[in-house]
Amino acid sequence: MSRFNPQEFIQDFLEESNEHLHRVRENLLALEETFAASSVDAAVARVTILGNLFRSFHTLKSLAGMVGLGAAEQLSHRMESVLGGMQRMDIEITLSAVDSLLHAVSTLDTVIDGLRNPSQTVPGVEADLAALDDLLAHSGDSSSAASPSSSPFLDKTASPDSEEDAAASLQDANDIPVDLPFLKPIVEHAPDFIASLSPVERLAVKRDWERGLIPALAIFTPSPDRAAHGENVNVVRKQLTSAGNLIKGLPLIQGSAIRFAFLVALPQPVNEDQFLPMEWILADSQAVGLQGKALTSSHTAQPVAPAPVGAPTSVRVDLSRMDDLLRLVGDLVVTRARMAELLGKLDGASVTAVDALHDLFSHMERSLRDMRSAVLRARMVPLGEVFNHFPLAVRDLSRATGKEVRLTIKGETTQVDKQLVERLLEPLLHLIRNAITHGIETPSERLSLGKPPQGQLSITGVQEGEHILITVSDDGRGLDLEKVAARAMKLGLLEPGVAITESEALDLICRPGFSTRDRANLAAGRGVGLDVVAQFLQAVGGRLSLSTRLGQGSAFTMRLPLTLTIVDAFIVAAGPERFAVPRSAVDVIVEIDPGEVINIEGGQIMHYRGGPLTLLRLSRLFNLPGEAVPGSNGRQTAAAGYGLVLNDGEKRKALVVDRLFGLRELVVRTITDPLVAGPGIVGVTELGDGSVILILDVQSLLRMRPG
Amino acid sequence: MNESFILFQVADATYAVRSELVLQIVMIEKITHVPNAPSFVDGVVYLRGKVIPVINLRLRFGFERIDYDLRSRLVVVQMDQRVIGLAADSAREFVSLDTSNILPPPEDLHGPSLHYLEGAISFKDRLILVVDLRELLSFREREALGLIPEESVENS
Repeated sequence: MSRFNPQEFIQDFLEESNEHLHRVRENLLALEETFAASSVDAAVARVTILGNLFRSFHTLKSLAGMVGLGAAEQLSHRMESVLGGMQRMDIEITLSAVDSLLHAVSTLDTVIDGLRNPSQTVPGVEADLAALDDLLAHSGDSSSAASPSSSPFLDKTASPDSEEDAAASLQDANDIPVDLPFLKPIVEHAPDFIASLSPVERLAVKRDWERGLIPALAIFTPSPDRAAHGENVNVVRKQLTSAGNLIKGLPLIQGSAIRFAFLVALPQPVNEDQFLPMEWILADSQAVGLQGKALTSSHTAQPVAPAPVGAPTSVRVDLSRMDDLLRLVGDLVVTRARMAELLGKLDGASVTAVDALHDLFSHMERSLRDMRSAVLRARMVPLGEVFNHFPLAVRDLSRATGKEVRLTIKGETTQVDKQLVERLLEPLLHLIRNAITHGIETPSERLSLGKPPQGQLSITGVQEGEHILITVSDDGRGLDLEKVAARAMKLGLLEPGVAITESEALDLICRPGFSTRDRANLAAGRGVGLDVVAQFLQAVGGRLSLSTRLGQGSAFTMRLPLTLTIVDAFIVAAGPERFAVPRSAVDVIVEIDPGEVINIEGGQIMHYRGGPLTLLRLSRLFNLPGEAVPGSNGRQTAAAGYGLVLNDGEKRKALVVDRLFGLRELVVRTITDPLVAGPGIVGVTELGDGSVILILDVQSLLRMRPG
Repeated sequence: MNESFILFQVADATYAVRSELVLQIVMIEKITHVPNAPSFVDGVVYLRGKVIPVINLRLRFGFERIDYDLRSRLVVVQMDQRVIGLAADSAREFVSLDTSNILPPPEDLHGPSLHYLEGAISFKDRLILVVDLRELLSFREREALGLIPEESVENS
């Protein structure tokens, strides 16, 4: 039985955990500070801090799980849940909540440290778990979008101690009314549907109503008969989307029947004939001029019980399940390639049989392509998930800067990869902050310029082919290109007397330290300003562009790839080359003691967990100079190394690498060109030091071995 | 009619490719090797957010591999949505050629690389071989090997 003693690996784990714990502490302290005073970026900072904390706890949980530190894993998991609740504003951020977190972090630190000194007594985690469970148990108390007295835009993160803050919040809440009286007929018919609307959705309805569109609830009842005629919910969705604004769709359950309800805003007059037959409930029907079949509010339809709030047309799926699915699809792709090979070899077989096989094959190819797209799509979430942080941030920023800002958000329903969405928050917050603090002028200044006192800030998300374009635009001062040029000259970045273009100006202002203003940033350790945005785009393979007019405003547009795949992977070395092995492929890591390696015909094995473990050297798979040296008795002395026991059914194969560098979160750049694409490689990734390494698809790599 | 071309050297010969197809020309830094690629593909580089395969032109044209040096250049071209890097011994010139003067490729010579030429043209006492980029970038060899990628593409 091999010794499980990966010292080097534990060392890496300890170092990484300590780094995360350190950051967590800094962030928690920064969070405490946001209560102390209403500083300019308090709410904005909080959004960033919460994100940092969530990610850190998530990583700590994974790390702890890997070294088998159950208590640490549990604790981290609980803290991750608490943070999630805080981000959704289900759990109030109070000083005592932060206290509980700080205490739990202390305990976590000691538990992890116990790895270093096994003799040290490990503290119990029950007390902390209980305290955190308490916070979680009370989650949801503060969020009730249906109650007219609490505005969804109330700053729930404010400490109850700051009463004047609370009063001010209520004041502002009147600007964005929650009850939408014109929706009364719809509310009467499907109250829970309306209750499930998010603040962003309510804002969308109100906005559309003000623009003269008619909100309506359309209810579609599917049936096998209808489906046979091509009448299904997707067709309905398309019709509604092209006719107006589709705000929300939910399944409604009545007994064993399922129907689909869509809240949509349509231009007048509403003509029922342009859609598949459905039930319609219109907002304030007297205001609507009807043509075609008259729609009245005296339907005979029974009010139906909607599906429970919180379970709309989507389902929470563990990301690892999605990864599993994707892997399975990948396996199928390899099988398909082999089938193609075999098909090519068929000759002399009956022509009809071969034709039939070819047909079947094409059919399978199509299904496979569809399946792959479907799985990828399942990882997509609407941009609204990040956009709905903004009303809060904008409101706080405007208050703090004394500006009046009207926020318009479009494209919340645009779908983006889940992992991209999480990373978008901070760069977008930077752009918003810039727009409000530097772009939009004070109300009095605006009046003197002949502009309305309220500044316009708009955030839009649009899909363009394989990319997403997110634009933050304002109608403020615009960027003074000459001033930027002047500052650049002063900094020695530009030759005197040179005029600059918008994109050159953008390049300049994105440099760290270019901005003249000094901003104290509560989110510890991060850069300020546009360089953060530039870095983010560089990391995900995106681009920033600027369009600006002096005196009229600016628009910053981020162009991003539609999907961003991020994996946790081990960085390993085989010979002189480094590779990345996705964590999901690995069950456990064992250290290989050369003395325990048994050479047999065709390879090497080792005794492990009561049976044989096949050792597959990565360096041999890639024909790299390994570190094996033949011993004097003819027996090859395998060098020490690490065996990544593979997470396949049997778990009796290990990929042997020479060195192990650690676990990293990597952005996968897929290889698409047919010249280099193929099984065995998931893609490449850029490491922090600029080098580019391959990310391996271990299962298909092993299948490709000759013989 | 006159069109602009980028000139590059591979072994003794000078080749030309239409400059509108060239995205950029960079020095060759580390190339990440990819297994199971055709022998003339050295691997991939990662440039400006894209993973770009690198075709070693010396190998593609049937010459022996030599080490990359300071004069070596990666000519990054784009065709039909594909972005590919061509590794050449050097690439320095940017010229304008009259395409009506392009003659058919040399006759009675045998060699797979002639497949990739559109023709030859005389320019200031030099013979320049004009590349047919689509042929150069095709992956017929890969299909023959049975390593058809996921998307089956119609070869033009």
